[in-house]
Amino acid sequence: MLKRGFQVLGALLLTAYAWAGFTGWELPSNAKKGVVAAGARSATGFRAYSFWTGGK
Amino acid sequence: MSSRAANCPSCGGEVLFHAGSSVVTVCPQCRSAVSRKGARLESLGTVAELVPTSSPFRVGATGKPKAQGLKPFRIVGRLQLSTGEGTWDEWHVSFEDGRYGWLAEAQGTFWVMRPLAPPSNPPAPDFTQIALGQRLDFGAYGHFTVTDRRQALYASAEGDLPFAAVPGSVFMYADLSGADGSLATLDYGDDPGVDAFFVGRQVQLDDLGVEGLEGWSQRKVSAKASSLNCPACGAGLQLKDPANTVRVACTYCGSVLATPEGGASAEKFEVLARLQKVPFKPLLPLGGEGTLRGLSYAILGAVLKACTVDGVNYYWREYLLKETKSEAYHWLVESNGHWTLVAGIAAGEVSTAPRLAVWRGTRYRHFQSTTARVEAVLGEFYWEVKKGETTDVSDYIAPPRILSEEKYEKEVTWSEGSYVPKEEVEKAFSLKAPLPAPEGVGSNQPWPYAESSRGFMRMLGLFAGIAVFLFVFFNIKADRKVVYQMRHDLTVAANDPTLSPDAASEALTVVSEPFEIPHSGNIEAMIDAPTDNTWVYVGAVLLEEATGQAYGFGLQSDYYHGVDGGESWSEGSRSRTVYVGHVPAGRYVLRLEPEMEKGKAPPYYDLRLRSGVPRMSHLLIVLFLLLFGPIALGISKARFEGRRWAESDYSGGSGGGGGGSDDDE
Repeated sequence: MLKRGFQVLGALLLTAYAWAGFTGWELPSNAKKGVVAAGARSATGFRAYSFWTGGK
Repeated sequence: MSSRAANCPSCGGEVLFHAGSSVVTVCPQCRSAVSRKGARLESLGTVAELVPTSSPFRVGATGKPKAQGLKPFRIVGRLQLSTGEGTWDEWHVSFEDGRYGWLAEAQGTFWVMRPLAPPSNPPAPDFTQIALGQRLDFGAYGHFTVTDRRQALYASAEGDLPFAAVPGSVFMYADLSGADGSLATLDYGDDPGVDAFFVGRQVQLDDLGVEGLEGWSQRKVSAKASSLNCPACGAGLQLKDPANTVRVACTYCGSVLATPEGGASAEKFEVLARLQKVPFKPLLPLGGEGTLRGLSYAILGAVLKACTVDGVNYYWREYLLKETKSEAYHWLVESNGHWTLVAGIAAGEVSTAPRLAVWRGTRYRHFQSTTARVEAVLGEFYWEVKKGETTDVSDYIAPPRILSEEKYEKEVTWSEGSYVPKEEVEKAFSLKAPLPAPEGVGSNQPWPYAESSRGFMRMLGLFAGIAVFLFVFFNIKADRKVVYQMRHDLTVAANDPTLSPDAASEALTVVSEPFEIPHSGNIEAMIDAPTDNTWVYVGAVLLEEATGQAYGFGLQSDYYHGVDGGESWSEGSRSRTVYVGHVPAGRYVLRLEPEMEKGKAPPYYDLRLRSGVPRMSHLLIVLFLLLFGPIALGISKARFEGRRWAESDYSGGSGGGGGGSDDDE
C-alpha cells in the first residue's frame, strides 16, 4: 500500500510540476489578481484608481 | 589391513585383529574383550550384548570414498557408548594407508574423525577446567567451541577397537565445534588429563562409498511405516521415525511412552507418564508431510515451551521435522502466529560479542535471553524429552534470520532459522484450515517493506530523474524575455519637505507605456534600489489593456547596517524578486506607486519584468515532496522495529518472553 501511495504521490507531483512549468503557475504570494472596471482603464483612470495598493 | 589371528585367552576360540591400529578385539565366541600387548593376550572382561541401533554401517563393510582426502577403508570395529540418555555407535575404521579413524553419526549427519596429537601450544584444558561454550585456541589446529562435556559408558563393542579399556568403564570427553565447521573430540578416558584428540569433518553418506548399506536400507524401510498401539489408551499410532524414536507422546491421550535403554523397537514402548487428554492442540498435523522451501519434511512431534517473565508465562510451540532425504532434524517454531524454520549449525562457526553474534559473515543482534522449559509434548522424539526440562536460550536476530543458542546442563547448541510466512506453512503442509493470523511483530519477522524498499528507492530515482528532465526542458524552452526595464527617479518628490507622504507617493506614481508580453507564463519582477539604512516599497499593478485583468504585487528594497558593540551588522536586501504566475500573453501597462520614509528616500529604484522564467524552487519543492515517500517508509520501519524490540530484553519495560501470553493456553 505504501508503494502504491508513493506511486500516486510521484505521479501527482510530476503532473503538477509539468503543469506548473507549462503554464507558468506560481505558488501563492502577495500578488493579487482582479479585473479593473472598464471605466478605469484610461490613462487617467489608471492614475485615479486606488484599489491596487498591494502590500500596504 | 592384514588380519592377525590368535586364540582368545578366555575361551580359546580364534580371534582376529584386523588392523594394525587394533589393540582390542571382541571374541566372537565368548564376547571377551581381548587386548594384545606385543605377543601377550589379555582378557579385559566381557562386553555386554549390543543394543540394536539404526546405524547403516556394519563391521566388515568397506568403503571407497568419493570424498576428497579420504582413503579406502574397512570398518573393523564398533564401539557402543551410552550416556544414560541414549546409546550410539562409533565405528572404528582402518584406512588403506594404515591409519585409523572413527566414523560417527549424529542426527542424520556423518562424520569421519581422525586422531591428531593432542594440542600442546596452547595445551588442551583438563576435563575439570573445560566449560560449555568455552572458546579454545588450539594454534595450528584452529579455534573451537566446547559444545558437549560429559561422561559416557563403554556399553558394548564388536570387532576391533584401537584402545584398551575395561568394558563398562566410564569415559570423559568433550565435543568441540571448529570455526571452519569441523568437529573435534577431546578424549579424557577415566582421568581429567587428555588422552586423545580427534578432528573430523562432515561427509555425505553417499560420498563414503560404503558397500552394501543393508542396515541403511532396512532403516529406510522401517522409517516409512511403523505403528504401535498406545499402551495407555490403545489408540493406533503411526511412527514416522521409528528407528530413532525414544519418546512418544500419544496424540490421543497425551501419555508419554518410552523405550527401555536403547531399545528402538516399536513393541518395546512403555508408559512413562499416563495422561487423560492431550495437553495442547498442535497447529500442524503430527505425522503429516509436506515440502517447505524445497525440502520434504515429515512432522514428528510438537513441544509446547514456555518461559516466565515478571510472573507472566509466555508460550510458543516447536515442531520437530525430519527432512526425508538427508534425515536431518529441523524445527518449525511458532510463536504468536509467527513461524520460523530452524536448523542446527556448528557452534564453532558462531562468534559472539556483547549483544552480538556473527555467523558466516552475518551479524545478529542480541534480542532476548530467557530460560525456556518444556510444558508438554506430543508425537515422537529422538531424544528423551521431559516435561519441565529447562534450557537457557539466547536469541540473536538479523530479520528474517534468527540465531539461537541453547544451553543445557552438559551441552550447548546453536541453531539458525528464517522467518516463514504462515501462508507458506499452510501451503507446504496442505492445511485445510488457515493458521491463526500473526499477532504483533515477530522477533525475526522481516519488515513488510524490506523487499520493496529497494524498488521504492528506484522509483524515487525515476521520479527525481523525470523532474530534473522536465526542469532542463523548461530551461531550454524558456524565453526569459525582458518585457519592462526602467529606472525611476525618487529624488525630487520624495525629499520635498512640503509634500505629505501620501502626496509624495501620489506624485511619484507612474504608469508605464504599453508593452507586450509575448507568451503566457510567469512574470519575474525585480526591484533594485541603492537603499542605505532606509527602505522603498513599490506597489505594482500589471494591467492587461484589453481585458482589464490586473495583477497586483509589492516589491521592497531595504538595507540597514551599522556597528553594534564593535561588531558590524547588516540586514535586509537592496534587491528583491517576486513572481506572478499564470500571466496570459497580451499588451500590458504597469502602474507603480512607491512609498518611502520621508526625507530618507533612495535616489532611484530600478524595476525589471521578465516573462517565462524557469523556477529552480519548483524543482526543489517537487524533490522535497518526493522525499515524503522514503520518509514514510522510514517512519513505517521505525514503528515496526519499535514494536519488535518492545518484546525484547531492551524494551525498557518488562517485555515479553517471545510468545503468546498467559491466557494463550
